[in-house]
Amino acid sequence: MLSKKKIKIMFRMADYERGKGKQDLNIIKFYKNDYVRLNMIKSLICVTFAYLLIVGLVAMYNIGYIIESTFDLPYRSIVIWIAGIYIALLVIYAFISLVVYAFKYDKARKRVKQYFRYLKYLQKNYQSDEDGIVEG
Amino acid sequence: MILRLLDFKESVKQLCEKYGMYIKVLFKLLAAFVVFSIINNEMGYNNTVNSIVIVAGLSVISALTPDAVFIVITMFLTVVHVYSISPVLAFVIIAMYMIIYFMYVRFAPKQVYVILILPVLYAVNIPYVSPLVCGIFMGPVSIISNIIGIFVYYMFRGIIDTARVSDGSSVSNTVNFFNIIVDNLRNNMYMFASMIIFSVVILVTYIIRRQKIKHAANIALLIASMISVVSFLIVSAFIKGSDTMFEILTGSAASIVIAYIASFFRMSLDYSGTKHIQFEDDEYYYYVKAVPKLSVSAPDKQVKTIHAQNPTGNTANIAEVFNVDYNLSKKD
Repeated sequence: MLSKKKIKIMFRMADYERGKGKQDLNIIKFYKNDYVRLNMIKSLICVTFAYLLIVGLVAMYNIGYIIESTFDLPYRSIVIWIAGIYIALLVIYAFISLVVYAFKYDKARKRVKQYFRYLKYLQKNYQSDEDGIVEG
Repeated sequence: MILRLLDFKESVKQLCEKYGMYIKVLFKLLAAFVVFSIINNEMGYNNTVNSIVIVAGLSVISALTPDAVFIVITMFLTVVHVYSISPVLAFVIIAMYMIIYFMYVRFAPKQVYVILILPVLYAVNIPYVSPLVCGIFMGPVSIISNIIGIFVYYMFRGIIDTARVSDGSSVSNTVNFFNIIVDNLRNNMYMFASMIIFSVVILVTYIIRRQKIKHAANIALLIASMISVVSFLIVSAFIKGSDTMFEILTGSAASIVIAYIASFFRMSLDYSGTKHIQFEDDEYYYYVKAVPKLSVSAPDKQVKTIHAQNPTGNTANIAEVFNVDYNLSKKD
């Protein structure tokens, strides 16, 4: 039997599945901790890559000086500086990732909960339709 | 006046909801064409991509594909132009784009539009609109994108200015070229001042807009634009190489008008027009067309003409007996 309410709910679910739902259902496959950690690792890899590019650009800017004084460069302090900034960046980005992805997960979970509520309602309705208790 | 504007706003909204898809494509086509033309106009080093046919073709591609393609094409165009004057510098630009993506855009993908649009706004001398609109629509997260946008603009400005006086044909020249641009950026106090002013303007707009007062958005725009104009005028008086007073005043005036119009037409950003969705259950296939309900109906005007009635001497007419203008009392 066709039921207005059922169609409305199915429409909302289909609309959600087509839009944000796709992403949300992918997110919700993970536990919150796993999701946040996975994305944190991805962010840290990206930051590492970006930092390498920055170091490369800085080296390119100072290429004249580097070539001129290859043997006199204070390598130790340079390495300490580069490593220090890198670690600071990692800490900052780990924190940013933690906040951003935990927030994202919570929002996705909220939307998916509503989706599952609709799903349950439909399941119940179809069940009762089949049993002939309630007509649509 | 305000009522008429509101009517106009509603009709625009209705139009958007009805023909949303076509308007979006048309808007993207126009935006892409304008952006690509401005890039070619400012940087036109590569003759191949300078041709109008290529620009038109790229605009059509941008209009018909997802937004990400438009962004990639825009970046590609800038890289191609820079490659024509210095291949090494083109790689530097690619590295810059990658750094921006990995360190910022990954976390806030929508902010890429601000970064993209700011250099274009600079090219048409209305960059001041960006912090106002960002403060109203986005909030403090857009401070970073504005700063990056300003940086990108001045980087390209530096490339264009340096390319005018040198040719980056040999490797050593190219490295020099890069150094000159970086030095220009480091010494560009006006750029840093702009970054600070934009950040303050975004914060002020955002904070006032969030207050629970009447016309919060308008007050926010007014105060923030005043801060922007005054700060830029003060900065331009002290820093060499800044915009002229005329540029600042005209740019700011145009920016305020645009920001006000944008704030007036503010619609829910995730508005959705008519939707066509298909799904099925065990018994049926459903092809649902969902049309959003419109909140305000078209203006319903009724014109009543009121004119005096001559006494007829008919006492059955109660209004005449009591000397009351019946038409008026009826209207009430």
